[in-house]
Amino acid sequence: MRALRTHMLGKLATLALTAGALGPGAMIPAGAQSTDTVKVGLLATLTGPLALPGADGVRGALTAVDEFNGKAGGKTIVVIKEATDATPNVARDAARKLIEQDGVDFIVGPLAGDEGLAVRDYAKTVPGKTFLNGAAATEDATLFDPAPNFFRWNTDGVQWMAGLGTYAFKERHYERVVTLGEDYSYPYSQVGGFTTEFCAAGGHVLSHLWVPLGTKDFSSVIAAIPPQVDAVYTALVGADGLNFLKQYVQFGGKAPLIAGSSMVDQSMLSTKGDVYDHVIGVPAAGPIADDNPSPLWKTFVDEYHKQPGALRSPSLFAHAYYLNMKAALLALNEVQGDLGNGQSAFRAALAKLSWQSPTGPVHLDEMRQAVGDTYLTVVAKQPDGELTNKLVRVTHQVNETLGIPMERYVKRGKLDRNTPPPCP
Amino acid sequence: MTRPHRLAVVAGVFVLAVFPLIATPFLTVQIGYQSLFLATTALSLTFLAHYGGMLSLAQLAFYGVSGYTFAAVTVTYGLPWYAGAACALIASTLIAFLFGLVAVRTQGISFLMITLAMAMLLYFYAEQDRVFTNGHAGINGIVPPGGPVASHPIPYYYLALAVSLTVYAALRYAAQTPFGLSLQGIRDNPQRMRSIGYHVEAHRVAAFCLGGLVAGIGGVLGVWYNSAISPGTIDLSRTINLLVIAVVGGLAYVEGAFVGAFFVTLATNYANSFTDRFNTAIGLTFLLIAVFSPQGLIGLAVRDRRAIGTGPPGTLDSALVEPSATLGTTPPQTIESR
Amino acid sequence: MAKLLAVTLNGVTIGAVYFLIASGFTLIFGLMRVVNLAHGTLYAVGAYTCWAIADATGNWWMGGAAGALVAALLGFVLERTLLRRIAGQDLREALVTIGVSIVGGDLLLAYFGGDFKDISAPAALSGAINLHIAGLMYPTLRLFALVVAAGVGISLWFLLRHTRLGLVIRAGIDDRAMVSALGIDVQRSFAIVFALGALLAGLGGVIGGSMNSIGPGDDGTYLLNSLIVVIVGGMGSIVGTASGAVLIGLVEQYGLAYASTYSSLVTFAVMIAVLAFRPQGLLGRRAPA
Repeated sequence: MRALRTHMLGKLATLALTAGALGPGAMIPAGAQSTDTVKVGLLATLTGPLALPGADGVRGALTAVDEFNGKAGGKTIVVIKEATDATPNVARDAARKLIEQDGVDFIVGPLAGDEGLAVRDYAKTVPGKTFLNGAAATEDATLFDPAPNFFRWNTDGVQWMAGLGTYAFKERHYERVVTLGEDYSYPYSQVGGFTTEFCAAGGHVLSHLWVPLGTKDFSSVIAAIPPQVDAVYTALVGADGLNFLKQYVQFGGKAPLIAGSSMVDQSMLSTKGDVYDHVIGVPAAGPIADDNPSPLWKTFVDEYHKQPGALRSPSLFAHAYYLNMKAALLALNEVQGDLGNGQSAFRAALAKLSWQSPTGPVHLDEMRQAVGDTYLTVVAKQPDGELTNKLVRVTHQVNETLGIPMERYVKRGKLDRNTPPPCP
Repeated sequence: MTRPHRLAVVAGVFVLAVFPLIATPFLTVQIGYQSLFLATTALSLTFLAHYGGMLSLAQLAFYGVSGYTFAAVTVTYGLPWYAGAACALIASTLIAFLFGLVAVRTQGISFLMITLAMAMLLYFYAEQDRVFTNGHAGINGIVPPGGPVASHPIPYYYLALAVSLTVYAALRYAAQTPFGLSLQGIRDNPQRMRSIGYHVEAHRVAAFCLGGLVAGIGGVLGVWYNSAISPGTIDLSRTINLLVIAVVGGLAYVEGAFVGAFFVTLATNYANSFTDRFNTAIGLTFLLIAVFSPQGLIGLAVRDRRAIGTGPPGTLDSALVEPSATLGTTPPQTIESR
Repeated sequence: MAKLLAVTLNGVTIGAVYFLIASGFTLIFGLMRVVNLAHGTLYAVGAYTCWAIADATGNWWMGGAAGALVAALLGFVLERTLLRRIAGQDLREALVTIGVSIVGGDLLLAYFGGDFKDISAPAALSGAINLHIAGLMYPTLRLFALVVAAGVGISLWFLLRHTRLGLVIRAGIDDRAMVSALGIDVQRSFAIVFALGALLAGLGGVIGGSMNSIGPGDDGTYLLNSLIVVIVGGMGSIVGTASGAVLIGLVEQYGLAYASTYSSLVTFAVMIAVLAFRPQGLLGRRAPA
């Protein structure tokens, strides 16, 4: 028994120590810490199915910090990373830890669609802090029920589809397609964006196929694709996209593919092996084009390459994190590092900022959602044998409702499995 | 309860009672409150293991059933919190009853496997249903009765403390009732109990329901803390994590749930500041305990006083669930015997 | 019609992969009464090893052999170092294998990184074969999986029926206490059987990983798969495992083809239904009460 009691007392002592050693540091309110630093929390999917995009997102964010030599508004930027695993509950926990324990001034992140929704909702409970998105691209996060302190400087999954539906119908002459995506919010946005435009252009979407996130065996999904389709639109993420493509090739899939933004992104095209040779010629759309001739893009790519482990060309995740981090630093400069008064000056500066990004001019609308350019691309093989997304054309200044008046656009409700419905 | 045991429990309660006085408000919530709702959930596991000989991996799933029900009733249907809490406890008990009907027909490792598979059934349901659980995104914006937990650390902490200690006391009490005694008899020798006229399955199902109710109480406290719930809350790794809590604390003691929850919560919060291989550290701890000290951290502390019994080959390991040889008077049945 | 045929074939071929993995699980359980919850980790070890060796040597066959052997070696070591100490205490053994899976999963993540790897099958196994039934072209790799699984099934049958080891295993499944009492050293067979079970998990990883990819989280997925297959088929029975694997494969593929959003649920529903009517599984012996 003595041993047990000693053990308990020992634990009590450990606790007191823990509370003493780690507690106060964790609880210093933002205003009371040393005045020459600004702490930035960086949320990214460093484990789980989206670990590779997460690591690239971090590179993008750090590219922006390095561009400012680690200083903005006269203060030194301290970045505190917190790993998530693409699930909303972990993203929310990590955000809470950054705010409450690490005492960060604002957060940049997260990466995945449903994580974005969770962090947006958490943001509402800490109105004195500011949240900038990472790469989450679910339309919902800013369109329905936005948080006043949540800013998204990247365009969303619907905006990323601008131009693709029309191009597929008018120039590729695909009339009948089916869509395939995972059953969660980000693919809903991608499929929704594509369907809206493709149907409006006169095409027919025969049906939407949804598979659970993390599906391994796609063979029977492939068998379920109707033989009369002209093309298959795929908006899959991470390993699911690779698994689908491998099996589509194994099964000798005939119908050509149309790709969502993350299906043939650099984070996928860099996969070792030759399976991605099969997507040469596949059209896609998204916030970047690997061979964008703009000098600002070239500078960004050069800066990005200085980050350890950089991919051949920055992925859209690196780009999105870069935009959000850079906007925050620009706004910090604007207010000369003033984060007092519940960060109101900082937020006001963020809201009315307008700047030239590597991918064209960006500004925010009244829902704090970015308006920016969307790039239509085609996968091509470069002379050195590497795969790249070649620029076809740019759709300029796409807004969140694809140019449709807001009242009409939101009438269809939140995007879901059957919203918008297919148009057979 | 032996006298030293009772003293240890009193000391533990004292530590828990003064915790908010020495911890910061943040730690009161992050470590204190979180440990308490995890401990409450783990109590259902240690209770079933200790008195019923049932090592269940479905307890976190029942926690999830309760959390989802609370979320759906209060957020989706906009009813008040007490309606949500009542429905949550009814739902977790009811699902435990249904699962129990199937699961209690097996024992030992088969029971472990089947409850794991059932837990994963609920996880996939949560992922794929869009009406009740809202799929991968889950349900956000849950408001606890008195505002966010983080805004009122002290009251919420003591509420959780009161609830978890009440649950603990109630489970200890239940073990002394005729029901509890026959449950222990069934754990030690189901054949004999059956032959003297006990309904073995009915006792097991009843215990499993009680476990579901307790896990459900943990679920309500947990969903208040998180103010959101999504399938990730009840996935495979977190299901295993609850087992880690129970085993690290020591399955041999019902109150091991508190020790384990505290240890794992502290480790989860601080270990990843020191090492990237935080899961390896947790896994090794778990592994060492499973190999060398099946009675968990409490077992380590009392090791010098009690020889650790190892069960006869193929048993529902007595070493795992009993602190000493005094409780089980009859040798446990071997799993092959029929 | 062609769709129904294709989906059925998909179910049978994925069932073949499930059988490869789960047969190792059920073999270990049958003789040792160990629920090896690190079985998915052995799958991942096999797949990752295959990827690494095939990438380094350019030879998939060498990678595949290495994958299976490394998994077998790991299984052997696991049995010798950890499980032997607590042999016979089945719950503690299950806990130990859980510990191994937590540590193993984390170390694989540390070593191979968080991204997923594409194991490219050799040219001989890529592409598709014309089945001359309803004009169906079918992937060679999936048919190869079916052949391997059939080969493994027959070898296991031969091993169990016609070798001394098989005799001990079968006797051990029936009544381990009696076998020990007769003076047969069951313990000696344990390490061999555990290594063999691990080898099958590794082989499953090589083929499953080549059909899809390998990445973090796959260990858990395939552990659950094996679990469901043996629960449905019957613990410890090789024929039961084969039936369970094919049934689960078929149900899963029909689910994906005709109700893709609910496919994972359908599989579990079948499991619950089987358990409700036959707690011991389709071909299992009466579960110990």
